[in-house]
Amino acid sequence: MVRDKLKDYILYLSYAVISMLFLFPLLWTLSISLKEISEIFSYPPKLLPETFKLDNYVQIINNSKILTFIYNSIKISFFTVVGTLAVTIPGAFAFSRFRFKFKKPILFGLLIFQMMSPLIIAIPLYNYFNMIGLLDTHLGIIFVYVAIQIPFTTWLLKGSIDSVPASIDDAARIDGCSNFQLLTRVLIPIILPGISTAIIFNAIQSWAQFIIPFILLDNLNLFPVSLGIYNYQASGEAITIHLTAAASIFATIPTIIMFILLQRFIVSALTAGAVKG
Amino acid sequence: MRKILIITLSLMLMFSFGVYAQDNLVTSEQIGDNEASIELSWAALPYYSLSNPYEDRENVLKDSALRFAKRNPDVKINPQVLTGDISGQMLKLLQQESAGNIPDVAQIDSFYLPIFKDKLEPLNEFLTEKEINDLVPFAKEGMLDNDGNVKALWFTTDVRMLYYRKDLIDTPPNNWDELIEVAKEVTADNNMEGFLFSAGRGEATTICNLPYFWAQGGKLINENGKPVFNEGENREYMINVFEYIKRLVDSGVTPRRVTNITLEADINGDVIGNNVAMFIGGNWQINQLAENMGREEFNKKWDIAPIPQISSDLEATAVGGWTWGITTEDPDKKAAAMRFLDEMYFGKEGMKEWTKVGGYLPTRNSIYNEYTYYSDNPWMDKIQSIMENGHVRPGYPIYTNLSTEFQVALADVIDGNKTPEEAVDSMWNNVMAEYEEMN
Amino acid sequence: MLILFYLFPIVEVFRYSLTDIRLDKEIYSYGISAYQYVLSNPNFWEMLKITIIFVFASMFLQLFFGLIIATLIDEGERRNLKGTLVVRLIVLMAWVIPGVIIGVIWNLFLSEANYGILNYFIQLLFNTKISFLSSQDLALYSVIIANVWRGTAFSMIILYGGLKQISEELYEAASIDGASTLDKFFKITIPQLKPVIFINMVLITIYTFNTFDMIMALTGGGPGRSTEVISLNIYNTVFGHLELGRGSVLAVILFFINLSITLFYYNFVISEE
Repeated sequence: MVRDKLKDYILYLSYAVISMLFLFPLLWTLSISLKEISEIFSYPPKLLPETFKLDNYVQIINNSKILTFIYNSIKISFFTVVGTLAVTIPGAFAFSRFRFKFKKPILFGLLIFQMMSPLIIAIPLYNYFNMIGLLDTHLGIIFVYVAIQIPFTTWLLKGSIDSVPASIDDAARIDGCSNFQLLTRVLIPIILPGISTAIIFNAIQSWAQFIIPFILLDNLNLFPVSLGIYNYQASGEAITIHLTAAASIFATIPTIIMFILLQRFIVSALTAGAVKG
Repeated sequence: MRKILIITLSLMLMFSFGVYAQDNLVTSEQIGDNEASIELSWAALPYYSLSNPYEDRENVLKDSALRFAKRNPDVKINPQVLTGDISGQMLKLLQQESAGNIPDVAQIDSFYLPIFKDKLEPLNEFLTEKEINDLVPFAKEGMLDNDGNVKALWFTTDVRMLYYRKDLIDTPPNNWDELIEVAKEVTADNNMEGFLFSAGRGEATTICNLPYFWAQGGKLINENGKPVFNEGENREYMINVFEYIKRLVDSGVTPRRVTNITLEADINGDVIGNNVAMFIGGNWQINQLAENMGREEFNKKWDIAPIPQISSDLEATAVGGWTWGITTEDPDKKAAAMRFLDEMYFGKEGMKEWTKVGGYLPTRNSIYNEYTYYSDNPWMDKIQSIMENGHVRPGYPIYTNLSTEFQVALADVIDGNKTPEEAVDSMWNNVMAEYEEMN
Repeated sequence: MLILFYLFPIVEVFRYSLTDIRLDKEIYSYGISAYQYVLSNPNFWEMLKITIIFVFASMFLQLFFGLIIATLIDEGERRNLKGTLVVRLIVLMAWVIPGVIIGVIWNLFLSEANYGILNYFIQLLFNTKISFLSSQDLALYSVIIANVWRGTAFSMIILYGGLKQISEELYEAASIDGASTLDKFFKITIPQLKPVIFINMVLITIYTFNTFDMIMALTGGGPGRSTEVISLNIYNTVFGHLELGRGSVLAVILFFINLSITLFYYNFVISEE
C-alpha cells in the first residue's frame, strides 16, 4: 500500500515536470502578450508583466478579423473531421475485416500521398483548382485537407478495429447484424478512443495548416487563423511581437475548448455505451 | 457548459457586427457603392491595407478611401490582403497572373519589378513629364521598362543608415577604422554591444552589407546579367568587405550572434533595452523606435549618419521600397485604378500622408520641400542627403541566388570556418554554377 | 476522391521536375539537367546530411518522449489520479500553435540578446551564454529541440490512443504471473503497440522531412546553411528564386527518400509478424 502511494507521488512529480517543460514557453508567450513593448525587451527579463494589460488583446480584436479567422478555422476543421471520418471509418472497416485483392499494396499506397511535400503540391493544385472553380473557397480547402488526412486516419482506425477480437463480429452476426449494423452498433462504440484520437489529430492538423491556405485562398475573409496570425509576423514593418503573442494565445483557446468538449462527449458516450451494454 | 457556449457565440457575433457596421462607403471589405459600374480588385500587404493591424495607418487610409469614394461614385473597389511573407507573396501574384486572376491593382516589391514589368500595363498617359522628373532618380529609373514606358508607381522608399547613441558618441565614425575605435571605447565604458547589423539568412543581410561593396565602386552583375563580383578589382572589394566583418567580430565590437539577426527590426529589442551603441538600420525604424521608447527619449539618445565606409570620402547605401502595378487593360478600369492610387498613395497629398504615418520616405522630391513635416524635420534632412548615394539592387534573375550566397558567405566568415578569400571563392563558385545552369 | 485530388498534382510535380520551368517565364523545355545539377552539387549532399540528422533525431526523441508521457498518463488513469487530462492538454497545446509562430516564440526564448530568458538564467547560473541560434554547430540542435517540443504531442496522442486499446486482461494475467511493471511494459505494452509505433514512425518521418515553417521563422536556415533542411531549401528555391523545376526535383528526391524509409520501417516493424 505504501509502495502504491509512493508510485502515485512519483507519477504526480513526473506530471509536474512534463507540464513545466511544455508550459514554460507558452506561459512566457502569455506573459509577453500582456506586456508593453519596452517591458518585453528590458533587462533583466521579467517572468511576469508588471501590470497585466489586456491592451494587446483589445487591439487584436478591434483591429483585425481574428474572430472571423477563428470562425473560419472552426468551420474548416469541423468539416474536415466529418469528411475524413465519413470516408475512413468504412474504409478502415473494409481493410481490417475483408479480404480483397491488392489489399496490402493499396494500404501502403495510401501513404504515398503524404510523401510529396505539400509545399510544392500547392502549386499545381492552384492551377487545378482554378480550372474547376474551387480556388478561394472553403470547400476546396476542406477537400485538400480531407485528402491529406485520409491515409493516416485510415491506418489509425484500421489499427483500432484490428484490436477488436473477431469473436465479437461473429457474436453480432449470430444476432443477425448486417455489416452496416455491425460497424455502427458494435464496432464504433468499441473503437471510440481510437476515433477520438483521430478527431483530435484531424482537427489540430487542419487548424495549423499554413501553406495550403496560403496558396489557395485570396480573400481575407476566408483566411483561417493560422494564416491570419501570420499577418502580424510581417516583414519588419512594425514591432509586432506583443501582438503576435496575443494572437497566438487567442487562437489556442478554441482548440482547448474543443478538446475539453470532445473529452466530455467521449466520456458520456462511453458511459452511455456501458449502460446499454 | 451550454451557457458558456452561447455567451461566447453571441460575443463573437457582436464583435463581428461591430467591426462591419462602421461606415457604409468604406469598410475593410469594400470601398464605394454596390451599384457602381466599375469594379476593381486591389491587393495590398496587411500594413498597407484597410485591414491594418495599426489603427493610425488604417485611419489615414480610410480617410483617403472615403474621399475617393465620394469623388468616384461609379467605382467600387474590392480589397484583397496579401500576406506578410514577401517572396511567397510575389510567387502567388505570379501564379495568379498565369491563371488569369491577378488583382487589377497589386502591390509589388520594387526589387521584383523587373520580373513583373512585362505583365503590367503602361501608365504613361496618367503622368506628366514634370511629375516624372519630380521623382527621386532611382524610382524614376525603376518604374520605366526598356521602351521607356511607365509600368509601375513607386510610392515609398527606404534607406539604410548608421544609427548611433549620440549621448555616448560625440562624432559618428566616418570609416571602418573609426567605427571599430569608437565602438571599443563605448563598450569599455558601458555594458552594451558595440555595433550590430543583420547577418542572418534574409534579404536584410544583403541589403545592409552590400553598400560596403558599392561604395568602393564594386559591381555585382554586368549589363548582360552575368555576375562579375569576382572579376578584376571587384574581387578585392568583396574581400575587403568580408575582412571588415571579420575584424568587427574578432575585435569583439560585434557579437557573433548577429548571424541570427535576419531583419533590421530584429535589432529593435536591443535598442529598446539600451543594449547597443551603433547599428545599421532602415529609416522606418525611427518611427518604430520613437513610438515604443517615447519620442523624447529616442530623440535624446539616438542620431543617424551615413554608413561608415572603407575610407572617409566614400559613401553608399541601399534603397528599396514598394510600388503599385496595374494589370487591367480596360481603359475605364485603368483610369479608375489610377485615380484610386493617386488619392491613396501616389498623388502628392496621398503620398505625404501615407509616408508620414508609416514612417516611409516619399519618392516625390517636391514633398520634402513643400510640407513642413518634411522640410522642418531634422531627421529628414539627413536622410535625404544619405539617400543621394542610394543604390538599387540589380534586377537580374541571378541576383536572388547571389544574395543567398552572400548571406551564407558572411555567416561563414563570422563563424570563422572560412577566411574572407575562401568565402568569396565559394560564393563565386556557387553563383556561377547556378548562372551556367540558368543559361 | 483522394486519387482525384492528389494523384494529378503529384504527376504534375514529376513532370515539372523534368523541366527547367521558372515561375516568371512561360516557356520551358524538358531535360534532366536539373537532376544532374542537384546531384552534383556538394551543397545538396551537405543539406541532405543536415536533413537526415534533423529528421531522425526528431523522430527518435518524439517517439521516446511521446511513449514516456503516454505511459505515465495511462498509468495515472489506471490509478485514477487527477490531472491526467490537464497534462494531456498542456502537451497538446504546443502542437496547436502554427509552426511559424512556434519559430518566433523559440527565437525570443533562445535569444542571446539581453531579453532572451533562457540565456538569462544560464548566465545567472554559469556566468556564460550559449549561442543556441548563432553558432553553426549548435543551431541544428536548437532547431531539433524546438521541433521535438512541438511534435511530441503528436506521437503522445497516437500512442496514448494505442495504449487505451490494450485490454486490461492482458495486464491482469501478467500480474497474476508475478510480472513486474517493467516486464509488463516490455512484454505486453511494446509488442501490442507495434502497429501504432510503426505508423507513428512513418508519419513523424514524413512530416519532419516536409516541415519548414518553424525553421523558417526560427533561423531562416542559418547561420550560413547550418539549419537549411531540404524542404526549407525547396521553399527558398521555389518561392525565393522562382525555380519551380529545381524545387520539384528536390521534392521528388524527398518523395523517394520518404518512400524508401517507409518501406524499410514496414519490413522492419510489421513483417516480423
